[in-house]
Amino acid sequence: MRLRHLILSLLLALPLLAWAADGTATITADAPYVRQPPPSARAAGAFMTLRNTGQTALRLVAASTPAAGTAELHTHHEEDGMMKMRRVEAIDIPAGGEAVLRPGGLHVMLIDLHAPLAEGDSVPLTLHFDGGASLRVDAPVRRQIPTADHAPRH
Amino acid sequence: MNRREWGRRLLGAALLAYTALAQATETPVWALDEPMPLRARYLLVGPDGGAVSDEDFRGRFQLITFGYTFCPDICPTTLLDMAEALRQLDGLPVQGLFVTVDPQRDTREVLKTYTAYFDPRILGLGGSPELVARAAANFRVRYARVETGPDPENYAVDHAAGLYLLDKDGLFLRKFAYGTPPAQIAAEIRAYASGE
Repeated sequence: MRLRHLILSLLLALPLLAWAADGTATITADAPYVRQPPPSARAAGAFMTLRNTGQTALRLVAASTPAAGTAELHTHHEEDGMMKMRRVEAIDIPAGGEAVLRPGGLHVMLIDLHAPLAEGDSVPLTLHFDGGASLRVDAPVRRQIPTADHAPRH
Repeated sequence: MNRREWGRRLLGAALLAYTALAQATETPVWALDEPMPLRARYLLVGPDGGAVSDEDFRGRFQLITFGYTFCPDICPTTLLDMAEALRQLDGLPVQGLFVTVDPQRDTREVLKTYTAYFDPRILGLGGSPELVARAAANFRVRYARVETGPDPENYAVDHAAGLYLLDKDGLFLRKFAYGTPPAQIAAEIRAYASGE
């Protein structure tokens, strides 16, 4: 009984891995973080690089978190001189490739935050992939730094 | 003068007026291929509930951006860059302003907390949807409410990003595109200030 608990908690403690049917880890979330929102903000963006080391393409189709009422997959693009934020149905991660979620582009939008997020907090996220696989990610809350010189323009 | 002559004179006057009018509309003050200069006027409501207009900051440069606090990415980046530019320009009279394009959700309290997080010197301006619409139109800032998810309360607002710089007389100097490094913004404002 104890051993089973131990194994179970060990499994839960390996949050960064999703497992393919053959038992090999195929996706990782590198450098995840949640951008610290100002105190009065109801929403925050989560960013990371999703790497697919497997042989088959993966689709991120949903995200969930106990820290907010809703988590949606969003992207930004500029059109007609306006910055537009839109919900996307899925984020594709090609086999052997990656999807970069970064400011100004793709992100997981956390809506209706239950509590203000402080720097150093960790936000548990569960990423759900097409086909039923999921990935637990602990995204630390980081204060954003200003745009650096020679930063790429979006 | 008989009736017919009156009629002729009236017709002549009407024709003359029509021609003048046509000429007036056909001869724009600004060449058509040049964008009209921005009329950087606004009358909004400030953090204390009082009216705030562009005339309140005569003698100071104004660095203005439009956005909304629900915006998780573009607006915080812009305000962070504005705060950093203000920090680098410490000592120069520059007023940072954040104008909400979402006055329904961005109440004075929300705006106050929001702007203070970036820099307590930045003022958040809002007001009635009509006042905001007029200010945005003057800056030729377009915005549109868009529902992104199932909850209509969690709408997004498409909007023009970037920073607008006004001189000490409230005249529009230039726009900085979204993503312009704060060091560059600060350097240009410093150059304007020294070139006065």
